[in-house]
Amino acid sequence: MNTARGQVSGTNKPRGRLRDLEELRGCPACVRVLRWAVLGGILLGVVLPFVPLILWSFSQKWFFPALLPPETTARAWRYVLSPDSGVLTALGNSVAIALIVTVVNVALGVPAGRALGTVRFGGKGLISSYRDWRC
Amino acid sequence: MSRVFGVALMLAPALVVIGVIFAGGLVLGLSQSLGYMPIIGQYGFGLQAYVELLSRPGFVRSLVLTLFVSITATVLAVALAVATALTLRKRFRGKKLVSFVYQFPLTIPHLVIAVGFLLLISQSGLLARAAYAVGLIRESSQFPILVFDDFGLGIILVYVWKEVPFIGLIALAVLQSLGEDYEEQARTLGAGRWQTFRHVLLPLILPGILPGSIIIFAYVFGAFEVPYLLGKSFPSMLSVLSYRLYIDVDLAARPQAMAMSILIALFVLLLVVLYRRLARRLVRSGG
Repeated sequence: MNTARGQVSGTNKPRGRLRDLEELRGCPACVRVLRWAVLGGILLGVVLPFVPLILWSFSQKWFFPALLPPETTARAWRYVLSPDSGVLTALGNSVAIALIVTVVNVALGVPAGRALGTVRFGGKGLISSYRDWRC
Repeated sequence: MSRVFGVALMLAPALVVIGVIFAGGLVLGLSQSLGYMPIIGQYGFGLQAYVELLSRPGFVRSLVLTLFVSITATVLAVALAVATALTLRKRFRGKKLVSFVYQFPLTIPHLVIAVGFLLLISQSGLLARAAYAVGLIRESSQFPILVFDDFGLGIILVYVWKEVPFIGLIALAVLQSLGEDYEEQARTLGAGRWQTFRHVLLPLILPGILPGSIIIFAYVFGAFEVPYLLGKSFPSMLSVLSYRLYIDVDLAARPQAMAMSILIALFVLLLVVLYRRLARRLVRSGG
């Protein structure tokens, strides 16, 4: 497995997969292409699932073979933003709950974290099981 | 003495919440799973619900599916996270933008992205329409089944999408704290790119990302909303099975639902213990 480790490149060519990778090392263009492929993959992969969501939010009747909605309408958005839909009230509720949860979590978690992080006492391992998760 | 009191005081609020909500719920669930349900006049304790559950025809298939989805999603997320972190740590033009987009999935609710993927990869989704437009398929049924499928592919995809930045940010933090010294040293000694990664970087990153991967695994194993939205009705993942039993109009199915939940908790506990052993061995042997 480690036969190629420590060999100075060029003196003793490693075989098989390692050789391919050794060649990759001598190919900065390949490395650059690979890097741009990864970066492009990140951008595309993250954004792609939002594309149909956004398109659908502006469409009404958009059946299978059509790649794009045949007609666009802001009807759905008007409904969401109008007071009748209740979306704005729900949004307010969500924000309020998220804020309360955050405050309560910090209030409960920070003292416990201080106790677990700064003071030694018996039974600590039992309480702070994350410590045991470290590998 | 006062120090002990101080520690107890600092820990008490968190422990009370964990004790009442978590342990309390667990005890209630356990007693209901054993058939103790005063509300319908059942006071006995027994393992009947577990026996019924394990002998259900779909149970083993649900378990296998759940294992497959959670293991595959975890492995893919870790692999992609390491690959992307290795790329993102370098300097390049547009790094700020890419880093921002990279972390974006962390803020998106599972529900939203599950619907997004549904509209993207279903047989009448955007990708199927694109395949039709370029002539790859002639009708929607020719597009591969990626949601409501036998292997939970859509579910896996959503979790990978969501969890890659979670692991990736941990890996990035580790890589940045390491600097480039180890790598340069290895390269100076004649190691290739792959060798440097495999024998130097990977063993240094692994201890940092393995706990994160355990969290993902345990989470996906018990998660509900994505399998509920994108999963087939039979076999379904264990959490969906549990929910169906729970909302059954027949209250007598409740013990089975609770037994299911207790079993999920036990499975996760057991698998996490096994996983930790494996991970430790992996780390000791140098990746």
